[in-house]
Amino acid sequence: MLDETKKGSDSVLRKMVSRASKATIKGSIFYGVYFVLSQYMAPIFTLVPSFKPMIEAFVITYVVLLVAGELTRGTVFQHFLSMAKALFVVGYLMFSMGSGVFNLSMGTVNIAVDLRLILTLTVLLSLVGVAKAVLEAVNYMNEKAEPLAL
Amino acid sequence: MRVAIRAIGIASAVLWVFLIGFAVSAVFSVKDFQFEFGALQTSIGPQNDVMFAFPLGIINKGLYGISDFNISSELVNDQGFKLARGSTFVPLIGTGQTVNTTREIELRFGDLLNGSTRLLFDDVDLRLAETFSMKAAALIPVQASSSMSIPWGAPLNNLALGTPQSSEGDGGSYLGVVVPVSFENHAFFGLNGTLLVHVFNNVNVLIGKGQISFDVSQKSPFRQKLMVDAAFQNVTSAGHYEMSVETPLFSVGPLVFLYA
Repeated sequence: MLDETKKGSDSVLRKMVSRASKATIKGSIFYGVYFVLSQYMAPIFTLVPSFKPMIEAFVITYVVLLVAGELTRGTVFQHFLSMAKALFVVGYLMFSMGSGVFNLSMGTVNIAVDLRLILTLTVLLSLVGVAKAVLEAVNYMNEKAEPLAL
Repeated sequence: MRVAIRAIGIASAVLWVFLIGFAVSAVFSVKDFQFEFGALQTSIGPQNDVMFAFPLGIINKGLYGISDFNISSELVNDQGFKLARGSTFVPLIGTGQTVNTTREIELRFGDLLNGSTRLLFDDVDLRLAETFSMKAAALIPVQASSSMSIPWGAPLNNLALGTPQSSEGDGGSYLGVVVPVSFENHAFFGLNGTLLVHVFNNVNVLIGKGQISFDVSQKSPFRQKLMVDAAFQNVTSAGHYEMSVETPLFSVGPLVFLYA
């Protein structure tokens, strides 16, 4: 009996370590991708100084949600967090990109970049993410409710 | 259901990678898009219009082609009156391609004078408002606008008629009157034509008239004395001139100048 309890607690610990490792790896990869891309975007960050903190805030929030989702893997909270992540992307894009037309002033030159098409595609992809999270949650609840085969 | 969810996940991940990669590379590509502005060239066209030509080199070192490249230029005077407009369209600038083009704006003197005859007499700065529009990577519309000033040199700058001076007459009813005429041609073109002056006394009676031809090269002054045969009995110490200027490019007048 004691052995079984010990085995159970070992298994939980292993699961936790595995989840934490996965979360760390995923978070690191995501941040690494951001870091590489930000090197290429450096000239744009110089031109639009407000762009960098905006992107950084997004990356931090996304990584936090990603790590939290990974830590809660196997529970219903994972799906909530997954949905929250997808909704956060939609909300953030709508909030930060506004109409999708960026105006930039450099001395006597005014530049307008129309990113509405990119914005629309990004929002649609994020909505696919929301739909996927909902389906996963439904599937999870289904599997929980199904009687175990004897 | 798990398979379907996984398929959605894979498809959405692939699309995310493609979308982010495309957006970043397109924006990165715009950075490598360069303009080389040449010096402003001015000339007089075959129909006596003022031609402004702006050579422009467009260099695309980016990863994507630039399509629907259009430059529209609008020339306005110092009071905001539209004088002329022109546009240049380049359908496609491929990757690694350099396109040299010239933006031309044709300014009719008639339009110039409708805007303000001041441009004939005063040096001013005309404003050139330019709008560049293009599609980066055939998908992302980008628009840039700027304005620059173009110095305009007046062809009849400081136009003045001096106080009439009497010279020898015919000893009878006519008196020779000398009217000093001066102006500076600050324009980029030479100016030739005729200057016609009517001299009136203080009760608006025509005393006499005279005309003088001129041929003044660019950035040069003109100073001459115009001879007018004046009816002796009508001459008064004060009055006014009415002057007209006729050139192949424009006609202006009558302009009123007082004398005393």
